[in-house]
Amino acid sequence: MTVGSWTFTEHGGGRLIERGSALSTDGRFMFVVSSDSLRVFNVDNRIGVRNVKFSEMTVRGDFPELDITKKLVRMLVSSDILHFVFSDGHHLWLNWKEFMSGDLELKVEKFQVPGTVLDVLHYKDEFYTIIGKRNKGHNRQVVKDGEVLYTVESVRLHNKSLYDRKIVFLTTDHKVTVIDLETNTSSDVKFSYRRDVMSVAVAEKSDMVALGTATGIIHLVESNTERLLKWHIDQVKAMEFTVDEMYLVSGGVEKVLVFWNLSTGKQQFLPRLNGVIVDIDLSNPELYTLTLISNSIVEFLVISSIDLASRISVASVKNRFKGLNKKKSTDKDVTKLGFDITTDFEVVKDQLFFPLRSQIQVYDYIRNEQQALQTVAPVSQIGKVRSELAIQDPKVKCFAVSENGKWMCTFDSVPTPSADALLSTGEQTYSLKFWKHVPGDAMYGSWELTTKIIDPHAQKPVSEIIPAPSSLYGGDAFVSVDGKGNVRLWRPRALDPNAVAAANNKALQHTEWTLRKAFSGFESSSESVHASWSPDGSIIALSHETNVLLLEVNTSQMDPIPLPSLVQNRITGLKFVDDGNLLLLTKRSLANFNILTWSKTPLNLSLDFPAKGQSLVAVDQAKRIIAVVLNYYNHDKDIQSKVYLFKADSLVPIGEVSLSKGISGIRYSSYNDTFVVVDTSSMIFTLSNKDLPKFNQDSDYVTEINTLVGIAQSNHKVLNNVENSMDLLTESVMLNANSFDKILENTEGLTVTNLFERVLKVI
Amino acid sequence: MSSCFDSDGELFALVSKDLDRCKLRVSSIEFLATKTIISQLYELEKGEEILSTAFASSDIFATGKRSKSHQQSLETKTVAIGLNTGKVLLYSPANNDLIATLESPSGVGITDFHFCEQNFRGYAVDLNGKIHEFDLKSHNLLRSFTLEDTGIRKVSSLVYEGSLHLVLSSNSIYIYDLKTSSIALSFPGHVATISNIVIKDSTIFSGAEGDRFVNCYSLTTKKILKVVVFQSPVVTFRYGESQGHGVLIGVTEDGNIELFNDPLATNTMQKSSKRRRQVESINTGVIIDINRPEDRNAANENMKFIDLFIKGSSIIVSWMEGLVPVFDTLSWVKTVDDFATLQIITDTHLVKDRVASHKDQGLELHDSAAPKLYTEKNAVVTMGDNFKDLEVDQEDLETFGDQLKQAPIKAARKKKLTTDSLATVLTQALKSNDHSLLESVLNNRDENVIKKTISRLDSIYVVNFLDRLSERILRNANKQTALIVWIKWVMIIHGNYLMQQPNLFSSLSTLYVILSNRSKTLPKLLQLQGRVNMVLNTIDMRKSILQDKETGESDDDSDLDEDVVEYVEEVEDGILVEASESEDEEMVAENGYSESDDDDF
Repeated sequence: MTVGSWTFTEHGGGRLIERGSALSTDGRFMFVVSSDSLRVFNVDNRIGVRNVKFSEMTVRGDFPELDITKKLVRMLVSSDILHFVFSDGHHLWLNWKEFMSGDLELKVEKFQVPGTVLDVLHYKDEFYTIIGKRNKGHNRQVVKDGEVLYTVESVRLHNKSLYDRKIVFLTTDHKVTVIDLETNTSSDVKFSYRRDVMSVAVAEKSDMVALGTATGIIHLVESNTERLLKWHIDQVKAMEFTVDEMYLVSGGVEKVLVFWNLSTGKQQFLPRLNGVIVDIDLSNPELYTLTLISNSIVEFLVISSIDLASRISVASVKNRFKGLNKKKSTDKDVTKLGFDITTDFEVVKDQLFFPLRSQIQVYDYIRNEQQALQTVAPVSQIGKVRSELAIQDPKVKCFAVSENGKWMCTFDSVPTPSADALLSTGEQTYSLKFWKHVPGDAMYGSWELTTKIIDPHAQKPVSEIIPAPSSLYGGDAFVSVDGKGNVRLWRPRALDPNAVAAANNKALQHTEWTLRKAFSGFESSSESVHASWSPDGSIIALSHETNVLLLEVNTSQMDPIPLPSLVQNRITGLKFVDDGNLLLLTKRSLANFNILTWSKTPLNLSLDFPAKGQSLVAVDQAKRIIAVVLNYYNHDKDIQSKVYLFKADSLVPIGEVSLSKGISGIRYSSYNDTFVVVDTSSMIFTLSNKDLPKFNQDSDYVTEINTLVGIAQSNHKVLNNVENSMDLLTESVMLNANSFDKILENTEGLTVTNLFERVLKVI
Repeated sequence: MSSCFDSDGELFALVSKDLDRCKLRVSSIEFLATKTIISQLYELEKGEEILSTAFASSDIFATGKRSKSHQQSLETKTVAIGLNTGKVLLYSPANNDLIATLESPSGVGITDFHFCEQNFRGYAVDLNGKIHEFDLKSHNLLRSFTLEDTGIRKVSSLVYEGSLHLVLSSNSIYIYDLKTSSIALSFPGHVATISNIVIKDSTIFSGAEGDRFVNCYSLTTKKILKVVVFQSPVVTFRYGESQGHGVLIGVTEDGNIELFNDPLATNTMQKSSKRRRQVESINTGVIIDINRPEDRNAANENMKFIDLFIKGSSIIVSWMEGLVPVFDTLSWVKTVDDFATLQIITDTHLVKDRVASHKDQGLELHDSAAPKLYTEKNAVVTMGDNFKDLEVDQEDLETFGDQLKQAPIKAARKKKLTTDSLATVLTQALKSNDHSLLESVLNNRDENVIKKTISRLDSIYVVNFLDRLSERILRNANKQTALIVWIKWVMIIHGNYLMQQPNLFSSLSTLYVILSNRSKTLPKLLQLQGRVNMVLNTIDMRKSILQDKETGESDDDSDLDEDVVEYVEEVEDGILVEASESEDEEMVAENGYSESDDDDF
């Protein structure tokens, strides 16, 4: 249901799917399936050329709604046709050349299969499906046109050769069976089993079979002679023979691609890949496609077989959820989620910033592409194996980007590795880093570290960083807050222009960020310390547990002004709506306090918010609109969500939009004048209202009044609708014994007349 | 690195050495390729090295017959690879496979191979100067022969006086008649071994290793025609003609390309006037060099041309991008003028081509797919407790202390204090910023003296003094112990004054950094001490147990009794306090004259 003209616009995002990539035969285009769309990239210039949602395509034939992400088995290209095969036997295909020119028609057929399709082979224009169960140790069958050609019992693993001529099966009792579709023969290969096999590969022409084990040793079996290839020291996840069968290419947890020259046994390496190598596709002799997984996020990398340089890399949004998909609610309250689905991100201009462990991803949501992936803390580029896993990488705890996009501030903590029984075990080294954006030629550019501050708040971790509004210092300032409510203001030190001109040395031209102002906070340490900067930059609101202080930025000590106690629960977030209205968020409520009138405004909701609820509320400070996300369970116990849009002075929402998925975070982008939403499947949406009247000074009164009347009318409609849908918002309007509690909550610094006014207001 | 183009300028073969392997990379010159693009990498056996490469000059291996169109199909293109083992491999790039192996009986490295299309023979020269003749159909060795000159390294062929002759070269050039098996003609050549021979009709051009000269010989006059002088030694050169103009283009050792316009055009004036034995030489060529664009650190990358090919009025030039050869065409003749106008090219546009497929590939060769690594290159690294830049309220700048400094009382007050010499010296040192004077004061280690000096120090100098102290500690870590005592007494005596000071955070930031850093290690040291004590105690206990076992468990009880000492806290403390007090007094007494004696560290 959409009230007013607030609408969601989908911008892509989402996650990539393993097996969801294919290269065109000429190697010029790459096809990638993300959560709900088919994306085409030009390999030559690394640019996305098409991005079409499956829902926009027409399917000719009988095709049920499929969850593409879960059911896609294989994507393959044969000449001009792009095939998709699904686990229930459906086979979709389209002519990608026509698709590129705008023909969005998919054709469909269904393979006659007696079970779940695990894999499909396309050999000599015939489709062979492999049927079985995903669990290891079941029978697998090779089926063509509904007819079972081969059955192999209790199979653990299978793999196909480069051009689908052969299939290799590994059974639970360590037998290897190779089926050759050319000669229609099946043969057994012997190998000496010592350790668990994690991956298998079979050569297209010769009779070579490679078995990669859990301990990293690769068994290469050729005409019943066996060789061991030793380099990997942990699981070998993927292997493939090259076209000329001179090389075996393998990859695993080490994040290193290894080329084995089979005639000499010599290796060549391509190290420091972005993730664990889980699949290698060498079917294009010039372009090798690798599937990499890191932090369970899939990424595709195409490298040139000649110089091993990357040709294209397709990465999805890399965000982390606090605790997604843990459990379903058994609670009666539908708005109370059993777990935290929020995700942390920032939006500046067209870019979304996602922190992922020690990296920050810059994702352009307009172009739907990753633009940069910056490692912001010293971290090993090589995949960790075995005992190395005990070494923890630094993690970005919080970060902020200045509104002008020129500066970024990150805070990370590095734990001392618990390698030996050192005294320093368990200690954390904190560092606050200031990054400068270096624009690139045509691309987004990169971030360059200018200042690193070790232990910025002594031994206390920073819990929040907020950027200055652009009205103050041009936005070139950050404030960091720690658990005790200590506030520190950082600014770049002005460069001495003479020194810069004199020194060719780049180091001297670097801007140093230094501590400018400090406010010492509270005695006790708390997890819920938050801060917000007023739009004009003069005040920082600081919350610590249930207390709120207003800090005057312009004084050197940042003199505090305490606010009356406004809420019962600890404050989980606070935000300035404008210069005057301060939005307070707790686990149970959302309240607005007007500092200028020193009173609460009618906007006072009681609802269930997760602990990190701050990312579910966004404020458009220019238009003073507050967007509040409410995730709830529907009757099927699936998470759905609604976004309510409020004005600071009214409880009646001015808009309401719903989404069939849970929303993980909402931010406001002043650059594009929209709210940006990331849902639980990492899809990116924008929420905007193009029809909202803008009261600029040029507009005459007639139109203004007309629009006001229009708004009033629509508000009336909204109100009616709200009454229907208000069951989600449990707000008491009736006067009862508790009604006056609110008035007496914050009596500090209140005159009797004001108190009287308040009482009247309630009545 | 040796390289060659095929006769059509469509394929380029390049020899490279990775690790211990020799590799031949054959790639199509992409922008010319209308057919399939070939990019093959042929790896040789270990120990084998490529000494020479040559493309078959026509489709000898196609069908035996010459096809009507002179366009060779890619499938029949063949490269002869001369190895150090004396073998010649005939390699087909299209199939990435060997067609045949020609074995010379001597087993010495092959320095050159020539496909002779007139008689379907192949000629190979080895390091001993032996020439081997092969039948290219049966791949059999027909004969081997040597000349008197065993320095022959290059072989080529031409039709001279109506019959087929071989052109063999060492330092000199020999025209060898195949029918009579004798030398028909010879030219004296270069000082060094000839590395390059180009034959154009009845003219032979020769260039030698490390030689700046390219000689032109005429077969008709049997004399040296001209000498072309390059600016630096020539690596490889070619001769081409287009629209009646000839051009000699060479790649020099410093990676540039030099063009010589119409090297064969004879200057009639000179010819008629002087019939001297002096050979005409051409010195001025047009230079083409290659560079990265200015903003990409042009100076840091040494770009070099590796080879060139003349195709009509254009030159195909080639250089390396990493491991891959890259090509571009340039036009060497302009049609607007009646004589060839040659251009010097700054090749920013060449680089752009490359950048398109290797975006972001800067100096570090950063792959754009890889995440940007964390580097602290030029970043400033500071501690969080650096309060130097802490902002100060403007109106508060005039502190009480500042006002006091200007007040007239200052002088009066100071006079009162002149009685104590050390305090005076200290005040003077602080006032005049005299380091040596301050040093002499700080050399006092007597705590009592320190205490009294500080108590007489005017409070207005305290902040300054603390700053000086912290500076000293920062500079010299060894003197800390004494200086810390000074700080301690400043804190105790002038703490009250310090508390009233505004902006203390920023003015004493260095002191704070020092103290906080030092105190940070205390808990860890205590922890360590505890552990060490425990280890020592365990050792002691074990020792005693062992001793007990050795001596036998005879008199346990008596030992224990002896060890037990009654500890009375008050008594112990009392003694200590008394002792320290008396010590202090002694020190004070000594103080008057111990001042000057203390500077022995």
